[in-house]
Amino acid sequence: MTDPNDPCEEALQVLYHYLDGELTDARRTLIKQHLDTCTTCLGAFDFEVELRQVIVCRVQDRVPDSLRIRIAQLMASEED
Amino acid sequence: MADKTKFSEQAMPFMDALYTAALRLAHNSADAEDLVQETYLKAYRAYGGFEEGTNLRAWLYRILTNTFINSYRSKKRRPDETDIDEVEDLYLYRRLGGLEAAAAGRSAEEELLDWFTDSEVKEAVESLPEQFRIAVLLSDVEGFSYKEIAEILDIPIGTVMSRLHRGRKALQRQLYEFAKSRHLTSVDGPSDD
Repeated sequence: MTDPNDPCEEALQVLYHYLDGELTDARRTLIKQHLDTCTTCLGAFDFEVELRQVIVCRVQDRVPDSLRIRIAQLMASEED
Repeated sequence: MADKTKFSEQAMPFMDALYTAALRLAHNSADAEDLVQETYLKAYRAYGGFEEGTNLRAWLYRILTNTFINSYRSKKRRPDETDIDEVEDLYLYRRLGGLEAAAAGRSAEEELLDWFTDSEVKEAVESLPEQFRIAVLLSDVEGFSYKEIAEILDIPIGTVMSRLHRGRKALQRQLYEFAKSRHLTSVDGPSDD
């Protein structure tokens, strides 16, 4: 059973909303205050932040120059 | 009314990001290139009606995802969304969170970065069923808000949140499979040096 008044439980419930910047300022401040005092939750939050940075960093590709050039040419030819 | 001559100046900087998304959606570079090309041409043709000051990046993603869904998807059948197994919260953290601090003098992020290669992260994202993959790309990689994603995909915000919730869990599960097969045996015991 989960305790709705447990601040750790509450913080984990909104972890992704917090990371996604989707909490109200008031709620965000409350979570921040909890993270300042709870290393257990801070560890979990930090891990999720870092994981997302790793995903963003590792998932990227660069457009081939040939495609960039082809698109520019196609747009130019549309103007005629 | 937007000035068409401004289109390339404003839209070209997003091309790498759109190509990244296109590759994760289409799974192969030929389709991804076609998808990006089609997206830019459609956007260019429609740019006259684009309301300046509104979100050009979101608009480009809307065209990209709609084009993908209408023309490129399911050349081979993808797993259905019901194929996703629910896993517990903090799935990866509970398995890797303690291990990342093992090496001294490195930040946790550097540690975590070493757990996965580029191709593993890409493959893990591409393994997600389409709806979840699109939501995760738009949120975690592109940083769009729930509201923007809802508008890009024409779905309610609640649906955005549930797709993200399930997509992220499935992604963590897949990443863990990679971590397990590559690393876990080597970090189980103390290092030799």
